[in-house]
Amino acid sequence: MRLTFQSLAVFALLLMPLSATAQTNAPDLGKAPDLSKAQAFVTELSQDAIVILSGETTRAGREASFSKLLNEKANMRRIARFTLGQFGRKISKPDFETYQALLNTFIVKVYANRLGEYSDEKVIVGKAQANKKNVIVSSRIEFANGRDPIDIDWWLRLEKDGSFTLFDVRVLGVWMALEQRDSFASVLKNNKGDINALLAHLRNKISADPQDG
Amino acid sequence: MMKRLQNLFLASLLASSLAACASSSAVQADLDRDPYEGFNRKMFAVEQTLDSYVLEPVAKGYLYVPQPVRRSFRNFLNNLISPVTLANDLFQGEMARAGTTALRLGLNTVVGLGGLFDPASRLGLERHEEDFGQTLATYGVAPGPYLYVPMLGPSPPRDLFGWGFDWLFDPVTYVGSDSLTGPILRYTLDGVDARATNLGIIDEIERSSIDFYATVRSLYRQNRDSEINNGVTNLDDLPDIDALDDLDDF
Repeated sequence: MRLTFQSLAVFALLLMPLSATAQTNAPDLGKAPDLSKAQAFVTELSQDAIVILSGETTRAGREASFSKLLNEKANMRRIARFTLGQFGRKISKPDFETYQALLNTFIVKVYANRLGEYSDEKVIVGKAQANKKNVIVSSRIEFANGRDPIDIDWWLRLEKDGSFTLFDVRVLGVWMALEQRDSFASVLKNNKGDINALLAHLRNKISADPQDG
Repeated sequence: MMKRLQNLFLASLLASSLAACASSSAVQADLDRDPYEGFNRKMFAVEQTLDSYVLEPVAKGYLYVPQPVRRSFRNFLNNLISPVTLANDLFQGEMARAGTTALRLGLNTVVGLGGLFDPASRLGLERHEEDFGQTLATYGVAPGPYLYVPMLGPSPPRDLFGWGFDWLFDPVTYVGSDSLTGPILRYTLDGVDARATNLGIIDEIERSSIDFYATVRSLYRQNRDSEINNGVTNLDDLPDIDALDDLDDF
């Protein structure tokens, strides 16, 4: 089984330059997303993430590289919109920009450290499935220390220019952006919908985070 | 006496579950509902206190046990609970998964020295867990209102009832002079081992959550849905994010 996954991933990687050219020349939005290209996207993204999480020795260095990777590969604006839920329709433009900036920092700090728990691992990219502009790529993380492997799903979104961006990641059955949206909604609800309460919570978490270590 | 207590316990669980079933359509309409949030938050605070004074220190102490010993103990606990998984595989009509569970149980009990080792996984027979709460979900029973019970964690009526019902298929229920001590002891040991294994990640999640109560609620609901679907991702179940594309420009 692992062999099949690996050959799929290698196959996907080989295909990548081809499909990338094809997509730039003729972004055809009516067509289903290219699954092998999505798998290659995940292979590259997960390898980049592992290099950062295991290679960067300082917290600041890890966060800086992780931030760069996220800005390149994820559509942070869409994630910001999503995590605000229903509230996203009411927010003013200046508040949204403040929220976006805080959220980016918050996400980097949270996940650069949460994922730091998953060092010493190998990612095996599995099958992909698509529905309109959404692609879910399955993968499995295996640990060198004999810990049980975990399944990770990657939710990619086909952009207007034919490229993919990361939208959400599911670890052990839990979508991360969905989890954040639920927490944010709870804070907003318990503060009568005051965005400043959410912004204050985010600022607190960011400043409480150790600067280096 | 213990037997009577247990029956009473099961009966009350059944009653609460039936009450939940009766109002299930209303509950299903709004899964995000948490009608007893105030009460649940108090219970959650009780749990956090218990955790910081009892469970976490015990779990930290448990980490002094050498890793291979802990691994074997984990295997043993996993094997011990597998008759419950087997019964629920069958209740759900999942014959292939039932076969895997039965094979694992036989192999790990005999070759794996009573479950201390897990030769079945090495042969590609992957472990999964089922419980009666999941079985009820596959029958279409809604979870009912979210409830947080200290030491049990998130326990909506459906899952609480399922948990009680599963005792009938749990071999430790029938060991010893009464039917409560075995399951409670096993549950406690299981909890300590799980807490110890996840010390780092749980602390990290708590530290980075802006509302830890809401985070745990979201983690439970999502993880539970995933378990009920046997980990299969269904694209149609994803939230619709097409509308977000139109919001890009102010």
